[in-house]
Amino acid sequence: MTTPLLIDDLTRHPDLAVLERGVLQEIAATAQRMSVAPYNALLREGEAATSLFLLVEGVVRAGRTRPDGSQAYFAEAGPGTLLAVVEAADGGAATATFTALGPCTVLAIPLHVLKSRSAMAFALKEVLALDLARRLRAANGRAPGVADAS
Amino acid sequence: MAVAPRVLLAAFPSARSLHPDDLKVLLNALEPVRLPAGSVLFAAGEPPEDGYLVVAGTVRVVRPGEGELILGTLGRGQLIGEMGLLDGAPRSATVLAETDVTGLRLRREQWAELRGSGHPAAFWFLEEVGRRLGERMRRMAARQVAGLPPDEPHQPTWRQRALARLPRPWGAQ
Repeated sequence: MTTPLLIDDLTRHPDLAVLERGVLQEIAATAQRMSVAPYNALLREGEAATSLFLLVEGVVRAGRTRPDGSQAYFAEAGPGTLLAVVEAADGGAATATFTALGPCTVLAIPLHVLKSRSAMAFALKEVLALDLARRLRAANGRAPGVADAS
Repeated sequence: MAVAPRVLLAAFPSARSLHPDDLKVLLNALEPVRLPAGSVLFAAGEPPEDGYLVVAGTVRVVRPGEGELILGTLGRGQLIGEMGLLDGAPRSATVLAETDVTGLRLRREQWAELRGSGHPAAFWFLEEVGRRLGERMRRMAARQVAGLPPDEPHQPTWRQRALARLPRPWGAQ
């Protein structure tokens, strides 16, 4: 896959789109474009995440197991959405199962790149924090109870 | 006045991972602040001029409005105002001291300097922010999926309302 195409894919996310070209090229060089068949899972709840995903095409549904064993679907994501952000940020196990609702294309960015002290790692860490901040701000209006003072 | 390493490390042990020279840079970027009980650190809607690392005491996080909603409390080893420092969005809540509070302020300009140079101290701070925001998302998702109601919003007492009206000795200038 050519780097320019992957860079175009990366710029679908607002915080990635503003990164310097050189940093985008570095990220693109580590990323892998993957097709996901309908109803296949990108990541399953409880698994260790090894990649951060950028959804390029299609729709992915996030679901989680309720205490009674049933599935709760709490979000559907479209192109330009980062998936497995929480896992990438805190290194914990997957909070949800991400399932393709139809044919999907994603960019998989391996999490090991975050361990370096490079400009790319810094930029990705910042993108993760900004993405989480945006989600928390959006959720704050709906779910009080999580102390958030930002 | 530079912050003593033990003050930061006692509340944020992960900063021990920094090389002593890098820790010194981080400490030089931080400014010690004291907030008497009852003072307001910042108010919802204000521009985010800084972020805070709490080293002692507790603050209460309040969403103002009709029947002010108490969102929670934050204490030693926690960050306040870090999202605004990153995204520049106005404060999402009002924060007031429940007890006397000691904190370390990271001003926007200091953060910009660390960030611009890609300093290891900036890596440390970003990792802390990411980890903590991730933890908050996990708590929120767990509550949502368990079908639990959000924490019971409770009306502030007359004392809490009075505290929220007190002038701020520090915080936004």
